[in-house]
Amino acid sequence: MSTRLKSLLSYGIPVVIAVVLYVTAQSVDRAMANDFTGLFLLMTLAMAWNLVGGFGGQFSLGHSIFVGVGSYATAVILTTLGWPLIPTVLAAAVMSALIGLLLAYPLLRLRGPYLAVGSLGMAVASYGWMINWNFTKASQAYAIPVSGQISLQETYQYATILLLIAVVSIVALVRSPLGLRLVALRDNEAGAASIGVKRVRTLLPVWALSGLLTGAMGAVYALQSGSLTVDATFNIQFSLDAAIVCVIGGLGTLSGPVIGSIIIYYLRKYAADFANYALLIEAVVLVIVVRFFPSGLVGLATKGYRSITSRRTDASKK
Amino acid sequence: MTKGRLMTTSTAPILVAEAVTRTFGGVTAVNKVDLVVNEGELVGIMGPNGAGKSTFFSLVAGARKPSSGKLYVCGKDFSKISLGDAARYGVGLAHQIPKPFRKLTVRQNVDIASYVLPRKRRKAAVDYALDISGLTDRQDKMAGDLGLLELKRLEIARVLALEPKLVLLDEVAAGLNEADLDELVALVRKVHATGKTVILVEHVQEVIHKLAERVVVLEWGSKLTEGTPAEVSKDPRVVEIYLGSPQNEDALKRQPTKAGETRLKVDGLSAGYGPVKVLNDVTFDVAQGEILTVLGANGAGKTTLAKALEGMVKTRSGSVVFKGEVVTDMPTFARQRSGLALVPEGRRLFGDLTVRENLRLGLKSERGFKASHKDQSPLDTVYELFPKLTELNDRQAGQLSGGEQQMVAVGRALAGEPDVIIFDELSLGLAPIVVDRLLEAVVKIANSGISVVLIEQNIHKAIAVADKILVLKRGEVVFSGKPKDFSEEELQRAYLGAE
Repeated sequence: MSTRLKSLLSYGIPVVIAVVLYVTAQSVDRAMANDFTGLFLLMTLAMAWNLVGGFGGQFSLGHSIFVGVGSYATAVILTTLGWPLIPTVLAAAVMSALIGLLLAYPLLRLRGPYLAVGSLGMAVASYGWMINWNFTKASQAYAIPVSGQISLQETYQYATILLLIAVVSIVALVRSPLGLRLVALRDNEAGAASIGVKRVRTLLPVWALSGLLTGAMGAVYALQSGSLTVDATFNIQFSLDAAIVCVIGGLGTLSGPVIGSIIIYYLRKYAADFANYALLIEAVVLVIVVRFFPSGLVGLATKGYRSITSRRTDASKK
Repeated sequence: MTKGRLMTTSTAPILVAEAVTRTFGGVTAVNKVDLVVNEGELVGIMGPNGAGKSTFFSLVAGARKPSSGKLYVCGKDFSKISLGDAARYGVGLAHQIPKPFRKLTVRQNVDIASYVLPRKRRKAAVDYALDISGLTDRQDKMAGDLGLLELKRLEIARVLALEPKLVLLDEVAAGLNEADLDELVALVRKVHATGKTVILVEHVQEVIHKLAERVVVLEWGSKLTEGTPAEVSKDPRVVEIYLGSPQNEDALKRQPTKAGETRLKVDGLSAGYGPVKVLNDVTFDVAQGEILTVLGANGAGKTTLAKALEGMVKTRSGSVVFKGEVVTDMPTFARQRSGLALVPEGRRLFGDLTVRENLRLGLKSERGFKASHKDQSPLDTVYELFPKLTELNDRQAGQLSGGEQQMVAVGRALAGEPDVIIFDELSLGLAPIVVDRLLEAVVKIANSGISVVLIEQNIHKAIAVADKILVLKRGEVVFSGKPKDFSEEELQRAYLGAE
């Protein structure tokens, strides 16, 4: 397959799927629309995290900040400025991207586990700030004014568009020179520096894009929720979920977060029937994947594919 | 100022170092080095381990800044450089240990380097770099799947794609066998012939002699002398520091061993990774106090043998019997505990820990560390063997020179009171005089009754100390016997493949 066709397909297929989902959204029932919204938001979150955590090898535990900033910015803009919805979501995403730059600048001095702990510290600190900040109603719930007028199907459509934007922008970034540099830095920082790759200059735009997409995800999440609390948005669980999804699907791969979030989302949905055992079931699945398929399900599939094709070429040689 | 002068004249030297000094804490690694390299030259830097070659190189490559002195490279002031800039100014460094981005293809690896160039020139630069280094037909392979020589080629290709004015080659010959070495020398010649200035740091004398027009010798961080390779190799000071004094030869002589009990017996051992079978039906045994030298070209399976003996690679078939007990299925830590020690290739020290802590981790139990303990501690044996380690006790292992690190690695293995020690590539990347000292230590270890499996590239020295020789070729034993039965022809057949 020519590379041109390949790249056409990798953008074309998501676009086609998104258009189909968007058009059929109004005929989907409310429960299903809500379900898919949740799934797509998880996917967007995981893909955005995967840029930093997977391709960049920087295990961020601070992504809950972006979700929180995106959702609260949406609430505040809608309430106090009364902007229309789309500009509001865009503004919230941009704000989150700026926060991403702001956080990344000091965080990028840290590496490995120190970066994870540093970003966790920032997440905890921002939670502490928000729970006491009267401007955003501190620990009380913050209602989203227009959410009553938006149907679940419409929210689902927004989630679909957001996911499409995430897929396209991430594929483009990963294939760009910047994406190669990002992987080079992850694999070997000293080696990358010696051929002219600058760490901060490479990582800042990546953090910004990750923050932008996660912030937009937070904005749509706000629409879905109808009302916000600090506990529900600035929650470390978002970072952990993103990481778990990527580990199960395959860290640093394009399709890993997609597959991982389908598995985790439906596992949680159906395991919920077993009440207290739900967490245990998820933990067991995670342990099994990490123990037996350390490169995730995508890694497993590539390995299988490679062994089949290499066997075939071996056979043809004989 | 100097800077202005350098930038206006086109015939200016490409590197000017004036009293360049670099210290780490209290240690002066590079001490007031003066050096001028003109465009188009091919200069070699040599010196024993710990002489400051690597540190000097890292300054020229812009990976570190000098503590004092002036350093101008390609007309830029390198005392204020930040990481990643050197490549943009026209300096390309090929690392001693190839550091590819394993999950990217060969071409992508080279692509990244080309991003320092304007967009239009990139593709041509990458094509050219791949072509010169002979990687054009491998460009879509994953870099992680390449062999050692190909990785070295990739290092050079990545450097060339920067379109550098100055090419720095750090120990490019390390770990290569004769045939590969010739190919690499030819490649470096080719690079130089395209008009690039080349500076190389090298241990393999032969490479320096074949390539360099001028040689600079460093010792203890200072410049000892410089001249043509012929001049330098005649300089008695160089001979002294680099090759050691001749009386050292005696220490390498072995006392004839009494036939002790068989410690390690390997029978029909096969092992490999995934679909690749690296070792095939290997059989040998080692008795108490014996030295078995294992030779073979790169990729012959020497390191895999070490790993299989230690249980780090699964045995496909055959058996390993250690002190009369079958250990084929025993996990690595248990083999280590029962007295089968490994000094791994690349030393694998804990770089952030001190020398003492590294040694202490090798102990079987903490009892050995406590001074109040009546018996002699195994650590005393280590300090007896390497008195230098007593001085280095509180230094971080990662800051030591290669030779010192290797002493710590040997000491760590000895601290576990082993019955058999496997040395994997003991002399890799070390200066001849350091290798001699280490081999002396190996002889002493064997004389004390410990059995030794010595895996070596340094063929002649390793044969000199051997009681038995085992030669591997593509995973199979092609020679097994006493050194006196081992001829030059056997050696050539194993390494060069002549039938």
